[in-house]
Amino acid sequence: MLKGGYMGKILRVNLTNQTYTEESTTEELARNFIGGAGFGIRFLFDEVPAGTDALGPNNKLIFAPGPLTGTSAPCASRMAVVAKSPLTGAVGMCTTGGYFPAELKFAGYDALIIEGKAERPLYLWINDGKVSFRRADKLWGTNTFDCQQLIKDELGDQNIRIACIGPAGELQSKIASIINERRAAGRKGLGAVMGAKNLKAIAVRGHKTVPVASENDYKQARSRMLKTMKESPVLYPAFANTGTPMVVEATWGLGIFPTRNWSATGEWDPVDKLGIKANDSRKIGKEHCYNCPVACSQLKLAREGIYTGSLSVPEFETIYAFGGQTGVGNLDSIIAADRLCDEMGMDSISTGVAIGFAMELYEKGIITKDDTDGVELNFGNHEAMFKLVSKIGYRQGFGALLADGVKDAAAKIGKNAEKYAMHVKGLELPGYDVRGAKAHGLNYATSYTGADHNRGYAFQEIFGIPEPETVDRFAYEGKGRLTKWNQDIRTATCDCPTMCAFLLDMAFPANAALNCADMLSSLTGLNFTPAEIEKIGERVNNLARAFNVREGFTRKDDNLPERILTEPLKEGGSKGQYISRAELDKMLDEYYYERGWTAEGIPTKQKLLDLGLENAAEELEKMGA
Amino acid sequence: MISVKVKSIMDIADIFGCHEQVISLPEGSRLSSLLDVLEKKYGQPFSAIRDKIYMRKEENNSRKINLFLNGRNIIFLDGLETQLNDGDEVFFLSPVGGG
Ligand code: SF4
Repeated sequence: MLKGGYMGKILRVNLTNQTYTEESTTEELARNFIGGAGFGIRFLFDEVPAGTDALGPNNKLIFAPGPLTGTSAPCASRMAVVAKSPLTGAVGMCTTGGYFPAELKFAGYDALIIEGKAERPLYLWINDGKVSFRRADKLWGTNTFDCQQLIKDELGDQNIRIACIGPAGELQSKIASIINERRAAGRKGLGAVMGAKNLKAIAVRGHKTVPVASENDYKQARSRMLKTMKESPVLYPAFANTGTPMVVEATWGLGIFPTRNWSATGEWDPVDKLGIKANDSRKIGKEHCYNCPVACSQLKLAREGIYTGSLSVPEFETIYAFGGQTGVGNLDSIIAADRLCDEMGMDSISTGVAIGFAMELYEKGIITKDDTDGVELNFGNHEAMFKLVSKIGYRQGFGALLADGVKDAAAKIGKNAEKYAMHVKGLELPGYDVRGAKAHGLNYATSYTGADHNRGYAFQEIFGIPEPETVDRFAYEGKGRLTKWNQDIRTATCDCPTMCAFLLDMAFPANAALNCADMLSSLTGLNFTPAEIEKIGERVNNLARAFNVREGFTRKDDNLPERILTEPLKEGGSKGQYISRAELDKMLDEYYYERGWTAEGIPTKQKLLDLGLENAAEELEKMGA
Repeated sequence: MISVKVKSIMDIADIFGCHEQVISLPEGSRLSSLLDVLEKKYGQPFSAIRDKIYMRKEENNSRKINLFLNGRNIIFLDGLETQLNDGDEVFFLSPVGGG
């Protein structure tokens, strides 16, 4: 019997039959996987066999907050959303924040597993342990903000929290996201999985309290955590007042703010147009996730031209995707494009990268006005960029070609377009030009979700933080060890418990596992040591890798786009840098060695057994991997 | 004389009144001479941040200002003793986070 942190139940919903069952959250599961991504990946591995159609009824969509979620812990209202990704074919795992994750706990659940496919559009209403299937015919076609409001009105409670899809998810675009409030489980096409199941939304309301094993100890652990947060030199006031847009300036200075589909990184100065002051001048307020004292989300109002009045929270990644990547120096158009992405339910990174990709093809003459519906799609053309966003969302004209991401688009276009497609395993690259930040490069190459900065962010390279060791961002030696450390610590201390990853680099770079063990032990009564916490990170990463291996991924998929491997940066703070094929190979060799995997990147039987992953070991052995 | 491009962000750019400028120095100058010139130019506000620069690997960096010369953190070079050359680029990275 679990004493605290867990609600004790996992809700399993079958959309085909419109039935649901409740299962117990076991101590074995809690102890070995904590929650969040750990739970999600464990269910995915056990229940979604190799070769499952990601957009078919047999894929599962899992929502999993963690034990800290919904408690008095700061910054813990996060949840993992997990499915096989239609974009990559690998594990699709995103985390999202806001209020929905805490509400799911209050409704009584540690996880929600969605199976099957509804015959016609519906939404799920989870009300304090009662589940109903409600018709969504009238909601189908609405944008994500209207959808949330319409459901609240229909159910007569404005405090209901809703995760839903927009038109992009309904149309099963592989870059579709799931939106709750103004937050997104943005990447890897999880919105398409939901759309393919004919599930428009999940509405949740609950009034239960998350139990705490040892109230007094938890209070003290929480005080220690808050104290460390207060001591951070960045969290307050800089990050709380500015949020992620400050990274625009840092990456510019380091020469790694990707520009014009990564063809001109270091050659453009975005500081005046897209930097902190420009962002501050559009700021009208702040938003925060449940029980977060930081409130990093900066609400911005577009103030000029056709974008005037558009409201959104563009994070650094969005400013990169619609700004640097497309060469657009118009912040108002970026705010408006971000807003559209949220309304359509689509990933702003993948959308912006796809547009920048198309712009380069247009400038190189690989595509022409005949392909782009008559639009002059040059870099820097903010109106063209903005208009293309809704065309992608509705899969109209040229937009339809980009709606499944750059890998698919390049394959359809042919003419060697893949050369300009910036992705790994099908997932578009986030906003750090890895040629000047090599651990980022190795992380993009090896992350179990594809090019994902969130699965092993190398904060050492960007912010100069010397934990666990000092790091020269241009060197490739040591990056295998560092990448393993970053991936495991992030999984263990952020993606599973769950906790906002911003705290990892800003408050806990040196003692994340200790803080996590401290919080989880007093909350759950399970007595986690820091070493056990770190091992859980390793376990989850290995299980995710085993899922991908079972799907046929090998070393050759741990790759980087050709441009990264062949074109040195021409200007700026990382001038001359690139990652040669030989360097990438050496980094991969080191990484696999550190992970205890074979030279082909397959987890060894011994490694899987050491981590208690017997069935993964068995399955890989069966397939002769 | 040599010319060195100096880049900065946030609080340091506020002290400099710009995020990019070119400073001229005598041939053979080291990074420390550049800091002297900047201190002379900007006075006390710059002196206050000078102590916060991360200079040696052995130091406890509780989120100091990282200084880069041609993209490389100076802790991997000769710290403030590093020789400057014409056309070099120096970047002051204030503590930031949240990528
Ligand atoms: S720091 Fe930002 S993202 Fe993290 S929990 Fe707080 S508001 Fe949410």
